[in-house]
Amino acid sequence: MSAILSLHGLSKRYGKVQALHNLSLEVQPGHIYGLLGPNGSGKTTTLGILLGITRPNQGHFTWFGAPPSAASRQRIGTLLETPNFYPYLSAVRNLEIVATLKQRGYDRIDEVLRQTGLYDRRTSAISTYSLGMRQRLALAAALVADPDVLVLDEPTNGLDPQGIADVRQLIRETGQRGKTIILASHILDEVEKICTHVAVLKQGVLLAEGSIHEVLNPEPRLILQAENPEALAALVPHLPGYLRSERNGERFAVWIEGQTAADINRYCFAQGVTLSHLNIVQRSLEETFLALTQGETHA
Amino acid sequence: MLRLLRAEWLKLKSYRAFWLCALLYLISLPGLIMSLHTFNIKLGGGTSIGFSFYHFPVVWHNITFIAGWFNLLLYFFFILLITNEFQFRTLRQHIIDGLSREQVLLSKGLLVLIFSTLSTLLVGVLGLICGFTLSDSPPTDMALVTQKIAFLGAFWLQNTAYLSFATFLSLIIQKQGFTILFFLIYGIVLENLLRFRVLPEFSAQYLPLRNFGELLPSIFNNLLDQPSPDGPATQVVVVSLIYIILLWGGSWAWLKTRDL
Repeated sequence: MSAILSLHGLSKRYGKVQALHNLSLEVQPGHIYGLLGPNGSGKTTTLGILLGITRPNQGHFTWFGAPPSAASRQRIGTLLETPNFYPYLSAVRNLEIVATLKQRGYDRIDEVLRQTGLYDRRTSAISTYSLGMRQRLALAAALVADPDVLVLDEPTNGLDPQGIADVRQLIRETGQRGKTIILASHILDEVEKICTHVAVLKQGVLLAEGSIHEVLNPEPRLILQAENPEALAALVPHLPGYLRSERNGERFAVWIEGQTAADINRYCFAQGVTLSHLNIVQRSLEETFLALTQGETHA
Repeated sequence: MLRLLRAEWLKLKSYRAFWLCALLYLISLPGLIMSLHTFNIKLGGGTSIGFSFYHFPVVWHNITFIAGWFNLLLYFFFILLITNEFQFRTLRQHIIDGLSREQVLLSKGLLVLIFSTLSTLLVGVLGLICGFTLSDSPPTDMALVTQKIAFLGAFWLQNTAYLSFATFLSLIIQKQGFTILFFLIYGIVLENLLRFRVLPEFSAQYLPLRNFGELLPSIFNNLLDQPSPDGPATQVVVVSLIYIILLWGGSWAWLKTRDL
């Protein structure tokens, strides 16, 4: 199957700032693809280029295997940064305008308003909406034409906890219906919970790309302590599946491969070392992410 | 194209400011034009001039000239409509949603044509009403009725030209207040500076707003019962048409290359 979206060497410069540097990646059908990076890493610039409002200085991209066009954008549901609506019009009128521009009927308007919890306020002018409601309406607008692809930029911005949960649920459900979703976020937890694939950006540079497990591999490590620390120190490099270790006082952090904690405990006991402490620690995604982005800064 | 018009209509249909302005326009433009019936200048000895305001054929020139000034309000409303799209960031949203930049411009161009045409139709009807019912000497010869009707076409062209200018400024300046301010400052001060102080007379005659204005030349002669032309000068029409093309070309070039 051909890629939904391919980027080839996209670059964008704002004056002295290189917002995006030679970005290439592909999004396959059915992926929930996260663009992850801190603020100012080029996520929004990338989406702006992909949606025709920002001109790249270099590079090109294709949607649905063809050069980008207004027609291809009609097949994409989008929520970019801030919700943009006519404040004097009702939710229904605003969605009618979006559906008209996307050459779709109005038949899904009630449905998406229900999905986003705005149905009861559908005839109120947007100027009376709270920020959270506008954000929900923006999501409704992204869904109204039943698009093949959803592009969402920080979709949970400005939402309360219930709203965040609702929106994430809606995104997951949409993904389960086989839609391709591209989600930009600086919230690692959000990307981890929703996405199947991820690209990590920092200062416009692609740091890592692939399936979420490949990229944000949360390596487990064992924390070991023994009654006789020196005996343990001598044993650690010989543990089965040993990768590396760090000593911190009497405690050892050990990275191993293909062994369970019970295997290690049994092995140490057999070698005459009694463990007084044994604990598995998953490195959090946060740590992985920070290691990834900070590693690049010093490089 | 129908889709673009439908979207524009959806924006206006529930826009209270639009209906309010339309209502005010429909009341005050006819009101203004019909109230001029009493316009005259009393000269001593019981004589006065200006009584022929509604006579065919000068009625076409007179009322289009007056309506042309009145339409400044239409131009300001149009600036409001276009700058709204920037203020609400909906122009950007339209492109994201699936319009090309050309289609964005086309929908505004269609709106210009519709506004100019509706305004011209209204003034056309008013001309007939005034000429047949308000004139103190109704026409005896039908040829007189149509003699200066070219001014109605000039009025349409003037509307289109000014609205094109308003669109161009709105796209570039984007802020409503500044756009209206610049429209006025350019029209009242800058172009006159260029015309009378900077440019030689030969090139000054080609300035845009001067040409748009000359489409409906002063009605002073009519008020004094002096002979006046049957329509706008050909050169003025041609130069105005060229400016309309340039303004849309400029708007297109600007919109095409911008990050929105």
